[in-house]
Amino acid sequence: MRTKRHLLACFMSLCLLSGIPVMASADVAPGDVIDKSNWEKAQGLLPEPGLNWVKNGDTVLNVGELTYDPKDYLNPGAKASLVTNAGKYDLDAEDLFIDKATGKFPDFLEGVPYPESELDMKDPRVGAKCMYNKFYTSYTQGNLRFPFGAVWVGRSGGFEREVNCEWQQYPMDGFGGHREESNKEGYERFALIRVLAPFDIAGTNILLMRYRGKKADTTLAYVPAIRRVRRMSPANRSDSFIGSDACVDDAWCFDGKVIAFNWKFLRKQEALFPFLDSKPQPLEAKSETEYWTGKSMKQIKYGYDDKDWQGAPWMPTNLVWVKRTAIVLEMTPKDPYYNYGTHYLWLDEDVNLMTFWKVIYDRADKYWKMMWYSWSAFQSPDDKMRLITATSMLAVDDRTNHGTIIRFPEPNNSWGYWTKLNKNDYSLGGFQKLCK
Amino acid sequence: MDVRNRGWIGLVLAALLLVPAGGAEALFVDEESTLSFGAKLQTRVSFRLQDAEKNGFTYPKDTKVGDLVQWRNLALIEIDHDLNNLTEDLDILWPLKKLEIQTKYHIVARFMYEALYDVGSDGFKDIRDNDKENIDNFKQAYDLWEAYADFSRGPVFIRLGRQILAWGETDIFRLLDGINPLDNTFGGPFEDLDDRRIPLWMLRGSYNIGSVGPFSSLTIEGFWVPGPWDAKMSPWPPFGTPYMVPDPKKEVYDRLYINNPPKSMSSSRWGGRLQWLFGPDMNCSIAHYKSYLDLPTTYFVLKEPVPEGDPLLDFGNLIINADYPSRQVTGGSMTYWESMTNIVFRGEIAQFWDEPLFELAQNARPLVADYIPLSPAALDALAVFAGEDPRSFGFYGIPVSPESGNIAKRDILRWMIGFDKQVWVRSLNKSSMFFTSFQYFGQWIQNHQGDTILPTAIPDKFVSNTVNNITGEPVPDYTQFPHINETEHIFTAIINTNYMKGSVTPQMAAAYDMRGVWLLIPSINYIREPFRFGIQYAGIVGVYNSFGLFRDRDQIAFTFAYLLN
Repeated sequence: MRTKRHLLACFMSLCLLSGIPVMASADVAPGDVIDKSNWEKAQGLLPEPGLNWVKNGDTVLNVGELTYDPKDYLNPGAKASLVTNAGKYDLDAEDLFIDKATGKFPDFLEGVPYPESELDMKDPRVGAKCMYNKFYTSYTQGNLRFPFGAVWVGRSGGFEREVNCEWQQYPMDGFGGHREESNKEGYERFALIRVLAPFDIAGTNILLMRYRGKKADTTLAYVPAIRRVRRMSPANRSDSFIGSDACVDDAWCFDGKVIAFNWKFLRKQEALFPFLDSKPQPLEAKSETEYWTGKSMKQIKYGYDDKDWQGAPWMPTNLVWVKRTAIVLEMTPKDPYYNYGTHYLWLDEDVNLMTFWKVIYDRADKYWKMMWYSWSAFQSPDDKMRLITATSMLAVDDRTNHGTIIRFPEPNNSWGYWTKLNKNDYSLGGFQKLCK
Repeated sequence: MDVRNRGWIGLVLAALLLVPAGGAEALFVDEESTLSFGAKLQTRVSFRLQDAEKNGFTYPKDTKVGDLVQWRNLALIEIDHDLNNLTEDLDILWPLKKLEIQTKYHIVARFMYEALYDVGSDGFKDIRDNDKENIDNFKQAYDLWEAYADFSRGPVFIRLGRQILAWGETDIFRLLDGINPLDNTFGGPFEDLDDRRIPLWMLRGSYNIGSVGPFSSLTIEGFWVPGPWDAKMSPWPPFGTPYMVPDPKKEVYDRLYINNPPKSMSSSRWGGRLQWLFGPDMNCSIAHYKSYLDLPTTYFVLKEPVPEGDPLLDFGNLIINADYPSRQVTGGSMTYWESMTNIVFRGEIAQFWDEPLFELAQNARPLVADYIPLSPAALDALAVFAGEDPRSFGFYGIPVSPESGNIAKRDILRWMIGFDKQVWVRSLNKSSMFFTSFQYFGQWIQNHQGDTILPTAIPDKFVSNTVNNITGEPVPDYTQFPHINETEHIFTAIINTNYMKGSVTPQMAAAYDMRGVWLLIPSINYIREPFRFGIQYAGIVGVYNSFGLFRDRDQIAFTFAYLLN
């Protein structure tokens, strides 16, 4: 009996650590409103900290259903590649791509590398494969221009501060439009963060050059206060992003190098995931190839802006929570100085791009903070273009009772896909022309 | 600029304050977010934390602990406009569209008012009263601070207009970063380097060559500040202002003549740089440029030449010229991230060709002339009669056949080796790393003559065993100077982190000159939107040399800023 209790205690501890729901999941139905009075309904569908938020009255879940299948809203390039790439790629012992035909690193990998049929949950590398799918799905959307705002929100004080930025991504792999570009350095992508406000840090620019394979990133930062471009250590990606509740690697739930982590598939399960709305949002064509999110898209409302809101001020109040099948991955940093210990990623089984939950433990394996992303499908009026994109991010530090919202596309803050960007801007000298 | 202009500035500031601040969102004027507007209003007050040293060179000489020495008010208004959308709509911009040239412009208007001379202690009010026009010009300014347009097409980039350009890898002290002049008149080493940079009208361009052999991001860059457009030099602080260069007394200051370079092509600044990445972990640059020192170089001259064999009877004939000779700099820099230690190493080396210096034998040539000895009593009388004691200049009699001096020039090699490392100190901060940065600066004056000095007399130095028997006062010795050795070495360190989700940023900055001077600048900044608060202590201890020249000016400064966005 005593042994059984020990085993049960061990099992419970493991479950808690991995965010496994410890009780059998209840069921939900579209139209349900789950709050602290009936939080049990969400049991088993949320990571434990998320369930606690509902239980404590920090948030209310409006359960709905999607009028579309997200799989149908992958952009045409990504969708096509799931057919053309079938059976082509694998991972080597270090989680690096190999072309099955040659056993070597491919010169160029167009599209999403692993169709769903190749994501065998018994494969020890399935976690890494899902992550590559996530990254490469975003590359199929071409050059990206995403203005965003990071908002600091305290439990008692509400809105504290906001930093406005623009994120640009120029893929050198994955996107067919860049196949012919010279790339002897082996770049995977360039990413640039430009700080637009507030005044005192506006003009700060951070350039990331990510390489395919094992090479560490090159990170350069222009700091207006010293008017200089500074090389930054690529090993400090778990440091807080300008003091917020998220670190650099938390972008898109995970923006680090796949090979810098050990990945482990834990399970598939039903989960409640946040979506902007039950239906796709408008996408506007700026040119024949360039698309921007539309001004008539739905606006997310936040607790700190609503005087009648009783929950945590950082919570979005009008998202739609949809039951989906999640893949839960365990990720452990190989860097012994990484600020997080083991953390857990919940992503959509059908569209690996959609990473919804990230549960973060500290290096002593104690729960620390959690973040989520909401997503939505977008569609042009003529239906020539469809895509899926993130629509908000929230990171909550449950130890300090503080949240950071990242405001993504909104009616007055359009996001651009397949945009025209100058590759020269992502060089040492070219990047400096974006600076003061 | 007088009351009328001050009123106009006041109206602008008041208008800005009345604009509600919606957090810190970028303020875009248009729907397409191409035209943005920003502003910062800042006030900074500084108080002395020590009395002026006896016979020291702080001004006013009776500055006491707690005295206000700065009340600097600043307004910056910034406009950024990307013209790419306009090129679609405006016919006049059609060539830009046709040539696929991306264009934007950036404007910063700056208003400054130093209230010290109006509301400070009587000593500062007296300084203004004694030199009204000069101080009034010094205490307030309104400028088109930065104004430039960017044009880019593919790998070509051109920036034209009033701008700041900084090269190199050093912090706190400058090697390759010597293109723009610095304004050291309002805080000198106690102020941020960037706040002191003065923009210049400049044409700057770069071309991204791309990858060549093992190098990538190979970029060639050049700049040109045409002398006829802009021959602006670092300003010289008026006598009596609290951050003026230490100087023995007003009489010496009064014979100082500052000669700015003419607005001619010969006064142009120019330079070129090549920079590249070598693998993912190293970036390098080499550069050559022509520029000017931030301080003019002084030298003694005779207004009227003294014929061979004649004595110098009128000390008023001895004046000090302060010129800004140009210098050329050749150097390189590199940064390397070492993965095992996770340290970013930085290095920079630069040869400064023909850098102007103060060497006693050359710059102070009139002071090393022979003299006809006089008795102490005669010297006492001469001192009273002339208003200056010749013994202060090293003459124990009447100088004979003095000759004008000139500016000494030497080649100087300077270098910096530094490293930056971010470290977790989880016992002190669980969510943010500590940024640490250390630098070692070295300097070697080639063909050093042993008489290179900083031309500012050491306080508290008196001609030994000499008292003017008529006035009863000791005779100050103006020939005792801080020396510059053949090699000099300085170390710097910066440590900072942030707390309360980035709202509180404590920092410790320090510099140590091996001649025996410490500069310590702890500070803490706090953000509460839309405001910024800062407290900074600045203290200098050690010998009277290098930045130790300011050692009796320890201060505490409080900064308050309002950001419109």
